[in-house]
Amino acid sequence: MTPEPSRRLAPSARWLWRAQGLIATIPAIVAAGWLRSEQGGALWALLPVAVFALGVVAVPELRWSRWRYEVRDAEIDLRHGTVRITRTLVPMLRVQHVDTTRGPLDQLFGLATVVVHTAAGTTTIPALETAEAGQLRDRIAALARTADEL
Amino acid sequence: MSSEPAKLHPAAIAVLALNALREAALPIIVLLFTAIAGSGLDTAALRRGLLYLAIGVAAASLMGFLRWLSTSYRVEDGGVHARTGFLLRKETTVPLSRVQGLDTVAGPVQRLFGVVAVHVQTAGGGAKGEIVLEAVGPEAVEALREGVRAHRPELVEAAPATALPERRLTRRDGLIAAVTAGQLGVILPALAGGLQLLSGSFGNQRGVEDASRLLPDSAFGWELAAVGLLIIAWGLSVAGSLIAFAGFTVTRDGERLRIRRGLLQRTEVAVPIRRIHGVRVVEGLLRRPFGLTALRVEIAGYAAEASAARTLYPLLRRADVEPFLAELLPELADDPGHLTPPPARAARRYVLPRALSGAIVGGAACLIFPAIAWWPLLLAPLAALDGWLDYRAAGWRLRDGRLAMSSRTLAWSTLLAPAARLQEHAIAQTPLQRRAGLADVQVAVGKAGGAQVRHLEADVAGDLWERLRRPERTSKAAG
Repeated sequence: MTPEPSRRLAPSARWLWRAQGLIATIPAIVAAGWLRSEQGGALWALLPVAVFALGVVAVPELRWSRWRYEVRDAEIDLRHGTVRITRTLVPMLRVQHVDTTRGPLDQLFGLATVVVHTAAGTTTIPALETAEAGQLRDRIAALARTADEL
Repeated sequence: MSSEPAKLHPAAIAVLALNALREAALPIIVLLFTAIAGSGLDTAALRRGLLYLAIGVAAASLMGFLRWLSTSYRVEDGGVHARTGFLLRKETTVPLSRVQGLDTVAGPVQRLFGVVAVHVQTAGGGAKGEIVLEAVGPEAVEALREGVRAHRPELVEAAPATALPERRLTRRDGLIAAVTAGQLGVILPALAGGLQLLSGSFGNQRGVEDASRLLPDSAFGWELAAVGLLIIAWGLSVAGSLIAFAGFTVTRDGERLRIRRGLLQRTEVAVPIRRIHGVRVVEGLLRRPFGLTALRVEIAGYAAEASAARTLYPLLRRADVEPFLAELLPELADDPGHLTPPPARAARRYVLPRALSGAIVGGAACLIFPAIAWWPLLLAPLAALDGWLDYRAAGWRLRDGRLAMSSRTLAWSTLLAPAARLQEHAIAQTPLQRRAGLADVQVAVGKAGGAQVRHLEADVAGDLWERLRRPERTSKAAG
């Protein structure tokens, strides 16, 4: 069996995802308030609590601890997931191009996402340190080029 | 080889004029309408309307003529160049290295004049070509092909004298394909049955009498109208399929498959073999009982196109699939049957979650609409049956570097793909599967295409994942 990929995402990835979870909590609070005024009952308050517990507390930590990646000469090896864990392999031969993207939140935390394009769509390695993401992008691009020449 | 700038066939005037007329159809209709509405419908208004119409047609014809006059194309300097436009000049150049194919399309007007429209296809282009030449005569098409061949011989080969491997859809098969195509054919009887059940559950015996009186004011009338609409929709879809698949012909021509189809709009597409990453054998609900399938190709870069464009052959007996592929596409030929199923102990994992969600939805429906009694609970056994069929459909095989994976979501689907052409592959496990020692395997072949087999033994799935990682080795070991 191929050894599991070894590299982790940036530790601040957890804070990025917690921030996203916090943003998702806002509509949950609004929805709970509206439901309470419409239908009554105190149990609606549990809705934002649940979203907060999952989106801010549980999922980011779990997701970060599960995420592993490794770029080898001939392939990109990923392991990710929170509940269902998926191990994906992208052959370097299939990589068409690769780029990095930075959303507003990414920029706030100094992170970037590497997006690998194949004929089947895109595969992403999220939340890497900006400098590391840039190096990774260049490395994949170089490897994809040599793989084509073989 | 370079060529002089060539003009389009004069038939292009008609095509371009019609295009212009179509673009201007709305303003013309508005003009006509105001001409008539302005002073009521009398002979003067009618005459004025006809005058506007004549002016519109004349303007469109002039536009068509000017566009024809200003359009030219040539193959030169390793590229296909086209220039068009009278006031606003537009020049397009497609480097020959980027040309993926020269497709010819013959619409009704083109066929009237015995010419074709040529679409210069590139990888990035959509359904239309990067350059569209509206009307090109037969010799000019040959000359164009000749020009492209000088630079890219693999794209265009000389017209062959010997008979090429070819399959042509018979009229009878075309009719069967059209009638059994689409999910609507499934929805229709299901819905009709459901409505019957509904009207029956209201406990009235008036069905037959009311139907004979044809009064659409009752609930029954609405049902009748709905069923009528569905039948019309189904008829349209059958007619659409008939027209789209009429004269469907597949030819293997060297490194390309040529697919010709269509009654009103003859379309000819040349698909380079190396861009075909997989073949999908699809058995719809209406076809499966009769052992009938349709073949689709998974092509890199063609995902945005309609499914008709990805059809390799619209109707084929299941037993005929492997011989068909061996003749026309030996690179991907494989047996869609005799796959290894998931272990027997996985069966309940296909059935139980489905049955449970069916029971929850059915139960919720019962609670929310108490008037409709208990029958939504039937969803649970139906969903269980669906899960059982999914289990029976699931299977895989990796032999000689060729992967076959079958699964089902309403329609049965078997993907045949060389392991070396997979875009990516994955193995996935939920905590429950981890405890039970099971895992899912997924592969991706194109934007629209992938396959997944759920609940394989974890070590079998892991082994398959490893073997897909090094496809060269498996093919060498076997070959």
